[in-house]
Amino acid sequence: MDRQFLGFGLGLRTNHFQHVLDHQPDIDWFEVISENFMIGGGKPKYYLHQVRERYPMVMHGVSLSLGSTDPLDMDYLRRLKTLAAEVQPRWLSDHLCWTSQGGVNSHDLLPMPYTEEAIEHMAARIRQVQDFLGQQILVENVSSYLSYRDSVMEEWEFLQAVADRADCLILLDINNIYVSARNHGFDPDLYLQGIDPKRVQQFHLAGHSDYGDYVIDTHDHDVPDAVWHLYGKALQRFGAVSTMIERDDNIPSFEELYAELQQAKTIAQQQLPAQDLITNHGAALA
Amino acid sequence: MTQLIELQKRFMAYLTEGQGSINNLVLDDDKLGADTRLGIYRNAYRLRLREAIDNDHEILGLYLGDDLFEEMVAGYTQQHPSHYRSLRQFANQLPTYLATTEPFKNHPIIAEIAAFERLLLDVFDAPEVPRSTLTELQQLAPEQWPNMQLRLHPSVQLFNARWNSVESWQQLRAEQAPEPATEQPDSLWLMWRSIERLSEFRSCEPLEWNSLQLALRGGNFADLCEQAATVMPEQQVGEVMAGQLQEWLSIGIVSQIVIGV
Repeated sequence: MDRQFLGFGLGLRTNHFQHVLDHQPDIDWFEVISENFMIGGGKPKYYLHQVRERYPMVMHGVSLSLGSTDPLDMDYLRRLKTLAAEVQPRWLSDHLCWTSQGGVNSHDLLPMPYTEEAIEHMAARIRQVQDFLGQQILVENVSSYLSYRDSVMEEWEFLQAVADRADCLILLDINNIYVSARNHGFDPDLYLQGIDPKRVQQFHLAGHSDYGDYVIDTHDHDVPDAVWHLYGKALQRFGAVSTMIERDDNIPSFEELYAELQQAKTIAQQQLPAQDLITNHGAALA
Repeated sequence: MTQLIELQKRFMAYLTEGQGSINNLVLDDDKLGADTRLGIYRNAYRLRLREAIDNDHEILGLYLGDDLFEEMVAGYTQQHPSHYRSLRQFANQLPTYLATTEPFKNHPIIAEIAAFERLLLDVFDAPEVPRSTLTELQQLAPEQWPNMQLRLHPSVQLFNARWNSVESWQQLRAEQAPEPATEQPDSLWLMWRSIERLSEFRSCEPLEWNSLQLALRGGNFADLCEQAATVMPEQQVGEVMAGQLQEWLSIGIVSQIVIGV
């Protein structure tokens, strides 16, 4: 398989900047939120460059609004391209969703209706973004709490169709699959089986808040057992995929996140042969 | 089938105004009704914007107390849906909102505290650029001094308060009760990010304030001295202004010394 396998990474968060520089922990790579660094400079930019000198990085966006019916924000794309030229990330990603309409930003990852019109709309915009950036991007599945009456297919069928038509790659958030499965009552295994392994370039792992009748994707808890279990199944289906813990709120100490990442490694070692877990730095996992 | 654009318009109207004919676009099922499902998004929208204001305006929140803070959040988010990509800018219009909206406008110190806190945010994330040093100044020939222009560091902000807003901010920060609001025209403050990347501010005399303003407008050192000569004996100007310049260099607010012709 010619997919890039970076190993096991973490989302780089502000309160860990200094720790990472001081201790240079044994982490294969970091993911940064693009929007946090699309400013002139200041402290965040300083740390970004310092960390980038020491680790491989990928860039993850939250506001490209790929599914919106507003025109693509070319100013944003230009700034994203400039940042990518600085950071030289292994890849860039954003979400299978819309965030804004009529110039108003919801600051949320809102679900798409799963229709032919939406596939065509989204795929055309992803192609436009990829042409502008000069590279393939990854799109990530979001958690959702509602289904539109107009939807005519399952979420995974929509995601696969968009990826095929746009010729883009997929970032699978294992927690988001679990959350949406609970909220909509589908079998998460069907989701995994419905996605072509050739398209999957990265996994996110995260936690959520369980309210019994429904589950909210908060990304502010430890990865729960049910998500670890689904991660094991995802490894069986997709093989060695670059994996990271994405913690967005209630950020624990770096050591705690590091320990959680070791659990991801352990599960991967249980599921996959050792030779599959050689990163593209040439380092086999101990 | 509802067109994608129509669906998104109706969804956004529901989020920002809490109304609109969106429910018939969303599936009800045995687990949860459409209202509950939509309500998750509406609650998240409100909480996210509230949190953005809370993060940016911690001391303003203390000054207002819980009830007034919630009233401000509700009013502002209703009147100013976010047109920004980043939540960092969402509350940019908050000082104006507070200065023009009942009951906040009846207490002008509230808008001032908000304005001060927004400037602190600008200080924090202004671009970083190299800073000029005292050594650089010492290497200049005396005849070059009059023509030198001072480019100030991008983090520099000047804040002209009419009330004891900064003092109240400091008292609340130190977990003390603020003094009653008092009008004190032309309370001048210099704000900047230090060489150690810490946000700093200090009060400013009118002479220094006017010098900084003139430097920002592109005035050279001779212009700054000429302006100073209107408020002090001419023979003191050179020494006072040289001292002021040295202090600016030592605290890191000069990013470039440009020698003009």
